[in-house]
Amino acid sequence: MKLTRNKPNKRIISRTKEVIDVNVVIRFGMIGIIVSTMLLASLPSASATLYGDANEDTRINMQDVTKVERMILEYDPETTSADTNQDDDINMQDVTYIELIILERKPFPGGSLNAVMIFGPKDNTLDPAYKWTGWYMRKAGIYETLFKYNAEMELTPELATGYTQVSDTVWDIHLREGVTFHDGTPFNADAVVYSIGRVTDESNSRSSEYDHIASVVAQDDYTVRITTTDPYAPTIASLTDPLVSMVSPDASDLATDPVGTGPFMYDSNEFGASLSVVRNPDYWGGGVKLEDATLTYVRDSTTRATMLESGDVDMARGLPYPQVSTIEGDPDLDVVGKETMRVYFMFVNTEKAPLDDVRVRQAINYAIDRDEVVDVALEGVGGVSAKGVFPSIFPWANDELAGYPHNQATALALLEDAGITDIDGDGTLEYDGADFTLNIKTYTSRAAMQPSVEVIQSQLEDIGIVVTTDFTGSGPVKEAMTAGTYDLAFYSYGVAPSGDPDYYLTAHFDSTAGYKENGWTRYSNATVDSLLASAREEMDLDKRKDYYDQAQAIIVEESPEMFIFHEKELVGYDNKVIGYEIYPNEITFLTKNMYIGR
Amino acid sequence: MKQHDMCNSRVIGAVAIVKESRSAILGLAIVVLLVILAIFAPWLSPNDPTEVCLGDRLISPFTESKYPLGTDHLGRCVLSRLLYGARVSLAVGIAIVGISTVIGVALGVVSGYYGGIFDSAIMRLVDATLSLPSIFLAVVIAGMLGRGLASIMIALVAIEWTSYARVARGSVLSLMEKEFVESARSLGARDSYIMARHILPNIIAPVIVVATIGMAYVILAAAALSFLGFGAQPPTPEWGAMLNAGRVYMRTEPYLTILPGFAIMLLVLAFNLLGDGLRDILDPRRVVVE
Repeated sequence: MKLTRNKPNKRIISRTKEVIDVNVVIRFGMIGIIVSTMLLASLPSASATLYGDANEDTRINMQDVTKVERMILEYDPETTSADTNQDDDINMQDVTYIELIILERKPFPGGSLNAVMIFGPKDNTLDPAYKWTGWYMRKAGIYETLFKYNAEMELTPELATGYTQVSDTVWDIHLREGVTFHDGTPFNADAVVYSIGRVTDESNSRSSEYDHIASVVAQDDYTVRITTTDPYAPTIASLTDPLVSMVSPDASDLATDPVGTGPFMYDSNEFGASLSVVRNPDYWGGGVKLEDATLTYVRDSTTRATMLESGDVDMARGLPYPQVSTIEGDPDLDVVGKETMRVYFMFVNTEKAPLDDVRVRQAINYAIDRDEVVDVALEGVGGVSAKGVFPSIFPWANDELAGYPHNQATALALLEDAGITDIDGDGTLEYDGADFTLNIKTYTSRAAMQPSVEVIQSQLEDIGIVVTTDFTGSGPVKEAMTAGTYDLAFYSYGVAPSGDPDYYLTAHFDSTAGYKENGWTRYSNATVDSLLASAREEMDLDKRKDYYDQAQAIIVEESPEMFIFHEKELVGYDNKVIGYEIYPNEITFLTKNMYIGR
Repeated sequence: MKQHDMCNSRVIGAVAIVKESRSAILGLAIVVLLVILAIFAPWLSPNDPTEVCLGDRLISPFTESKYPLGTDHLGRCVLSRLLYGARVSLAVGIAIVGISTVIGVALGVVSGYYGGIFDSAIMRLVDATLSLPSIFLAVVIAGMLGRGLASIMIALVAIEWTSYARVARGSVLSLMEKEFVESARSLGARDSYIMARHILPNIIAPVIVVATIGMAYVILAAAALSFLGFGAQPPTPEWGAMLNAGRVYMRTEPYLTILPGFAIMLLVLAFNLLGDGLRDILDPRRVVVE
């Protein structure tokens, strides 16, 4: 009885168990699929092998040939990376294969690079002639320009081979022969005329920066003649801006399908998220080592650092300063830093009393301890304190400038001269019968802005100035500067996008040029105006440098802008990434020399 | 059998009351404690919360007696900033909930009492507001108004009043059927008299419950908006803003995010406990069980 009764029960139990089991299997199966997909996704970067690097020194050279030969002779143990042709056998074919890689007859097995950047193309266009999109496209290695600045900030030919200055206003540019665009179109004088024409065309929002160009004419297949309206010394330098990228005249739609000459060809793109490129097998500059690369765009610096630390990416630009030491402490990661062409400074409203008094401006300069700003706001790693507008790495910087070393006594003496003293002995300076109060405005989209202003605020309060701050977007700051309703505005500019000093100095300090930046400071000095005008037309480099040196000295002395520090670019990378170099002008990122070496 | 069940539920009900009021008492205790800390912040704070001391930056908690909870990236005392931050959070919370309650209850009572087009218009506006994710809407409004505590207060009031209007209207509709309202009407009492004397006192309980839980939400939302940079402007000590400033130091100095985060959690939890407890105590259905 008992047995027969129990049997059906057992069956029921086992049946319910089965049901549960099926559920469990489905659930775990799902989890398994998700986990394995994630694992698979992470595999390529985790197990990348540099086939051909037999001795595993991250380089492929003749030593590897010797190494493979020793393995064949069984002097040395075999390694995975020695099996260069990946046929599971180490033999003389691998030796030949390595030699072919060295001779660039076989593609370099450089792997895939994932890098996280800060800003990427926006406004649904990839057209390099649209605003600053060319910069992002150049960072991705798609486009090139006639001339460029190398990692030492020297002007060097890229798609040009050189130039001849025919007269003060006529320049002949000689083009590189044998270059083809990614679509097979030959690069020649017509392509140059077409590419520059897209920038100088009035419909281009940045065409006014190129209104010095009167005409661009093809002299022959590989010579282009540029005529300027006036003698304009920075003509060649102006061709280094990625805005003037060389584009294929046969491309159907550059906004969606970029066609350039660079080491990498466009693959895919998602606006605001990522851009993928693949190796250009026919690159004129030689073999491209990376097979492909993906640039991801993430605005938040902490997220970028975490992506690097977790291995999601191999490289990360713009690391948060407090995390630099953590990342350096990781045995797999390294941080490389280099002074860049970006300056952080304060616009000064030179028409508003008492800032119209040069002594007051100088006093504020002396009261600011720039080294402390760098130590506190940038954790000592994110910048170099500034003496003038240009960083010392820039050949046009006036190296004689002493700047404003921190000196509270000098600051107080200058303020006293200007009639600003602590009359009632309350520890606060008085101006015109009330507490001397300054307002500093800034925007917060760059991480260094707010902490820098907070430090400057406390330094000025140390000598008895009352400081208020406004942290907003850049829009309200610009409005206040245009309206003249501001005292000081902390800001950041790239000082020489085209590598020429004229861009910044003219826009900010030439009162006859009519740029908005000069309108913000309301600064006017006839000597500076004429020095800048002479420099713009002077073709002799030494004389030109002399004009700019004089202008820089006056600008620092009169201080319509207070220069605080020059930013250091901090790039973190997994040390399996080989061949990366920082370019101070923030323009070049991916190059043919980079690869995954392990 | 029935007897047994009823007895059981009564026992469970009694236990629940004790339990619920326990959590309510705990919530109340924490709220009272934080209010006292906020009121006496100037006397309790060891340092000036906005005083920058660059020589003493990033000191860890419990290492120096001058700074019991350490210092932030500008050398400001974290404990002092937390105490003053409680003032900001509580003041903002009370102000937003107070204004929202007045606006919401007034509109809710009037629309529930009179009905008609006015009622439809108000309720469609409430539905429209509630159909959007509230924090998203708050970000949009605060973004349009610019930065500052005032703008996030306006933004949150613009959203918060809807829940009070809805609760008030619902309660009014159920009260309208009640005999005392009908009798007052038949005796010829004015609408304003009925609303003030008969309806308002009877909808206070549900409104108080909504307001208490609303405090928790509003404090959290205000901190979130400040975290995003809309609310309190530096150097004002505000928990959300402190959280944001400490974010870049999360890996190296985690206390800069843990402490303000914990403070926000504590205050929000306290109001939630209190609100839940009040809801159970004031629940008319439970009174029936008893």
